[in-house]
Amino acid sequence: MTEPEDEYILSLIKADNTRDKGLTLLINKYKERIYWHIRRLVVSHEDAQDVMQETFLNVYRFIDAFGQESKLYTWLYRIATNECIRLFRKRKHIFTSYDDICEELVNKLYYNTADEGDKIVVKFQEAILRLPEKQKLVFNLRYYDELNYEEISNILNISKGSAKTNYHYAAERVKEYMLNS
Amino acid sequence: MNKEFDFNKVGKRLPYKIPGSFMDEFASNCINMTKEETKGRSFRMHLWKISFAAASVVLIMITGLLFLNKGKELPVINFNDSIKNTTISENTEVERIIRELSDDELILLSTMLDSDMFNE
Repeated sequence: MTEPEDEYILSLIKADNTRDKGLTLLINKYKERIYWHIRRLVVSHEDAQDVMQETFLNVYRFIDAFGQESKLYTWLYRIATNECIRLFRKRKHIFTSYDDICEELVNKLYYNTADEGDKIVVKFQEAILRLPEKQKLVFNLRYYDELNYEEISNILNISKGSAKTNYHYAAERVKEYMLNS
Repeated sequence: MNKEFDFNKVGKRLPYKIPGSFMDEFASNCINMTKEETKGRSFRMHLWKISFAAASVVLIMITGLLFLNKGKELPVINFNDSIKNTTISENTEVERIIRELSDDELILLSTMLDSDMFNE
């Protein structure tokens, strides 16, 4: 079955009588990508579930503000990423620094993957979780979602050059962590 | 020796799992949440409209009263007179008890009150 075009989905969402149908199509088209993007950042399923719900509720609330100068999925990534950052900022009240948050995420990673046998995959996630925030975001979007630097710069509101540099540094750090830790 | 890490060893594998039917049910759950939100929003709008209408009625009534009484002197309440005219009821329970006490009992009560260390 072919996936519906974004323009068609948007036209359905913007009309009152077809809004639910449009939103259902949008969720079904992008839920997997958005879920995994969020899950890689927040680690636990419970947090991913909350952030994902909030992401799609925001889409519903602010669909009229979507100007179509960017692609629909980059807008979705942007909302999802901002919701993840918002969650971390909220937690900063509990954990004093970004490093504390990283440590908490690594603990969650080992707690959530206790039964998993593939240790190299878990260690790879740990390496990513220990990256500085911007490098982590850029690395995930490029490595897993295969977005180009233009799209990443739109999502994170940074320059294309900054996206490239952050990816380069992130990849180096991950390599080093995998070899030396 | 300069070792290189091979990213292909890991690829895009992730160590996470999604519980049960989360993905299948997500769309319908999300649609229900948007409906709840719309209901809540329309209820708040309704409440806001009612409050606005009530405030408007009160404002119209006050404006009308002021307009009708235009030129008339407004009654002035003299609080000093009302205090003077106020009489303290003698039918309270305390008054009744005191009236029923004998003179000796009143003297004893007064002495006790004077010697009461907690009575400043």
